[in-house]
Amino acid sequence: MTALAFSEALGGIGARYLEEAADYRAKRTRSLWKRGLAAACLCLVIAGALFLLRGGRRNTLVFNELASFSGTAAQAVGGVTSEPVSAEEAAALLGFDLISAMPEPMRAFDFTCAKLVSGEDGAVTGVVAEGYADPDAFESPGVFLTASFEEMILVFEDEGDAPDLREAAFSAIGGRSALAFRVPSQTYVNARGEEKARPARYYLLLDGGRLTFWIESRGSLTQEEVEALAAGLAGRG
Amino acid sequence: MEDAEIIELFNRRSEEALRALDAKYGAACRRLAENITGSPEDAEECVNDAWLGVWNAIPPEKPDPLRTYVLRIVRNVSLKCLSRKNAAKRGGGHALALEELEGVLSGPDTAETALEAGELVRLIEGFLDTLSAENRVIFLRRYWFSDPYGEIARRVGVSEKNVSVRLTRLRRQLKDYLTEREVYL
Repeated sequence: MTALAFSEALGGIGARYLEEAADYRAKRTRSLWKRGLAAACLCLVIAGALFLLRGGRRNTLVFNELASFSGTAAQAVGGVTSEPVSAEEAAALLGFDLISAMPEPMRAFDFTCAKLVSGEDGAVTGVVAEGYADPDAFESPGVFLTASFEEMILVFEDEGDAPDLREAAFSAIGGRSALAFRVPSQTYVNARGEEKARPARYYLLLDGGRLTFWIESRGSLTQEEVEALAAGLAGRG
Repeated sequence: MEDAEIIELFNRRSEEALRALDAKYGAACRRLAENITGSPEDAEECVNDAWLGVWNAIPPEKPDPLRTYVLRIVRNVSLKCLSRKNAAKRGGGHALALEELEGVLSGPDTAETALEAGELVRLIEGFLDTLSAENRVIFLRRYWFSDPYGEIARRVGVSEKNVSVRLTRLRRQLKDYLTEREVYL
């Protein structure tokens, strides 16, 4: 599908959506971004407290179970844009080859890379790599990985989606702290009215030291594969 | 003037109908047309063409709501104008919005990828229903109204950078949504 075809179809959506967009005016002064930042502060405080209470670093990832998750990880300050780069350019920017740091089967994925560029000063703030075992196959195992030089926070689509971070289990892998959660397999109805199952999704925010990593599983990637990826990255940050 | 009164003027074939329509919705329509074409002169021409279209359509049409009806006509006329004058090379706002979407919708339109128009509209509405009201407005203000980031930021009450970040996420969500429903991208 082309963007033009999409735009033409968008022209046919119902009047209620357009009326809402035409009338909408901000009702609040605090932005989601600031709320996200507040959540991040809470997250970091709790992470620190748990770390101290446990008296040391655990090396077991604990995946919290979430009914759903709609959001992503983003840099704590400022906006970013992404620009495509080759895998070699991505490696040069990070100082190591992200793909080589992955477990063996994942290295064979078909990856596309992009650099993250600060909207404020144009500085490169990280690298994104997205790859699939078979890009043409539906629900093919894959991974969406962000390596950021800047601190990253979790940004939720709206407050209703935000899991209670006080209940989140902070864990660690390779001596690095992590926040991990899993959204179990769900069913949905596709465009032809067929019921399909979407595999479980794994999300992981990992403090790599110099870098912060954000990992999202795609398709039928397993928890073991996500853990192996995190173990490899924890030593490379 | 209420929409029903304006429509009644059209029904009576009174030219006052066009003046009332312009007074009530002219500014919003000109802004939409200029967002798409990138030119105030082209925008004025598009709005005039749209008013002619409305004049010819009412009666028998009885649009409700009237605003959405005229905005839709202005958008269609402006997109045709953009295509005719190859405005993409002149940097029209809609051309920039399309470039953003090309990052997630880059496939060719082939027999395999084609969906019935109505089916695609339903899928898009399904996607919009998954979004919070604020994100839905941001998405539509950018890709339906072709608003620049700054204008969306003022309307929604967030920073321009926040709009940029959220649109990036929304495009990715759109791609995931369509992929899950096995729409070839």
